Amino acid sequence: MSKARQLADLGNQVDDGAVTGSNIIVNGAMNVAQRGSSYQFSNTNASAYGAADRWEGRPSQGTTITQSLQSDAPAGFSKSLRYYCDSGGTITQIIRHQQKLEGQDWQHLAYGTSDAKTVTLSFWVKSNVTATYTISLYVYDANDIYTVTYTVDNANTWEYKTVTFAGNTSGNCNNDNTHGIELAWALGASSSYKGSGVNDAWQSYESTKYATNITADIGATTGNYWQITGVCLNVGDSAIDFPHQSYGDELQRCMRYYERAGASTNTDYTFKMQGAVEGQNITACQIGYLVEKRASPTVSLGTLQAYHVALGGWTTSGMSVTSQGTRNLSVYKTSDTSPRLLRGAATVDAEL
Amino acid sequence: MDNMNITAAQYQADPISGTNTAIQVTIDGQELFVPLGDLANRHYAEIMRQVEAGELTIAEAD
Repeated sequence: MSKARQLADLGNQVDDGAVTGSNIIVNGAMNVAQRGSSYQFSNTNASAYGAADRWEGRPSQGTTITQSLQSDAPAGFSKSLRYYCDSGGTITQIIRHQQKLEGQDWQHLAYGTSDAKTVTLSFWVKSNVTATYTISLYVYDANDIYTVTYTVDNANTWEYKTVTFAGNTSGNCNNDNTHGIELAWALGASSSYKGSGVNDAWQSYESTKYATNITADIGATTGNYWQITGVCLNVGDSAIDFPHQSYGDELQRCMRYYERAGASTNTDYTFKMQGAVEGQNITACQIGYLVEKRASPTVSLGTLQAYHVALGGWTTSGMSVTSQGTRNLSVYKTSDTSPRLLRGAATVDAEL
Repeated sequence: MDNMNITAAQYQADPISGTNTAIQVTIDGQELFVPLGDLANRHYAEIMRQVEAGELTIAEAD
């Protein structure tokens, strides 16, 4: 690329405000994985947050897909997220890789006004399936969707892609902490998810418009895969260089949505706290989250236990937990007459 | 709306106040405690949707 071309591109990025822009996407380099490194979607339509934080897999019945972290990545990145077809078949719905964003984090794009801003999505992708794929930007509250296509041109090769979404002048998402935006890569779709709609234009959402003109289907054949990293969504009509962040900074962003207050096994107890008797023969303690959550989170527990040397050592009897807003949870041991040591492990989930 | 398979639901009472504060549910095979009253919680929103649709009943607390 010539110097003149580079300067012209730089000028364009300055005009867009993209040079100083940041990545709207969280964990675009797939470095943070609090839940683990692999998750299998077995013949199901149920979406789940599996391997890399903030990235949700939305599978389809008819195929079994494993989402996993890989050390294979293009230069400048150390991780990628792979969807691998363990058992191919005819999918009944749609396979998506997606991230949902809070509406309050989209307001600077001035959607629903004549000043609505264009955004550019850049990413690295690798697949054995050379075909046309689609990406959708769904404004949840306005019920508008915009789809674009890209192609995987060379099998088993990292390729850098950029696509642009025009600003939506007709509708916006609510200015709050709820699901406002969904950015989704379709990896395969049944006819009912690609039966209508157009690309490169805002239109009223219908599920049939999710994957207009897609030809790829990684769920069709065992051994197919699709892999991604370096995801950046920035304001403007040109892509910025991927804004790498420290692991600690990215972890902080992820923990607004999910926090692993302990390991997945029951032998690694995160909290050990001396409870206090609060009347009614109850021992209780409160555990604060490291980062305040987006919303009151759902709690998943490892084994909770209470200890008193004179009362028979560790027990799980009478243990319960209550999530108390966005900052902490409480652990209880009922039917107790003496303070006990409480221990346990928990994960809290405030994903969109 | 993405799919969520809820197979059991029961209110959980705060042992001190006695008031219901959470719903213990099994979602996609995983046992979870979902706080009451925050529709920004996706699990709670889906539970309420299924209750209103007559697809789910929440058992009273023990």
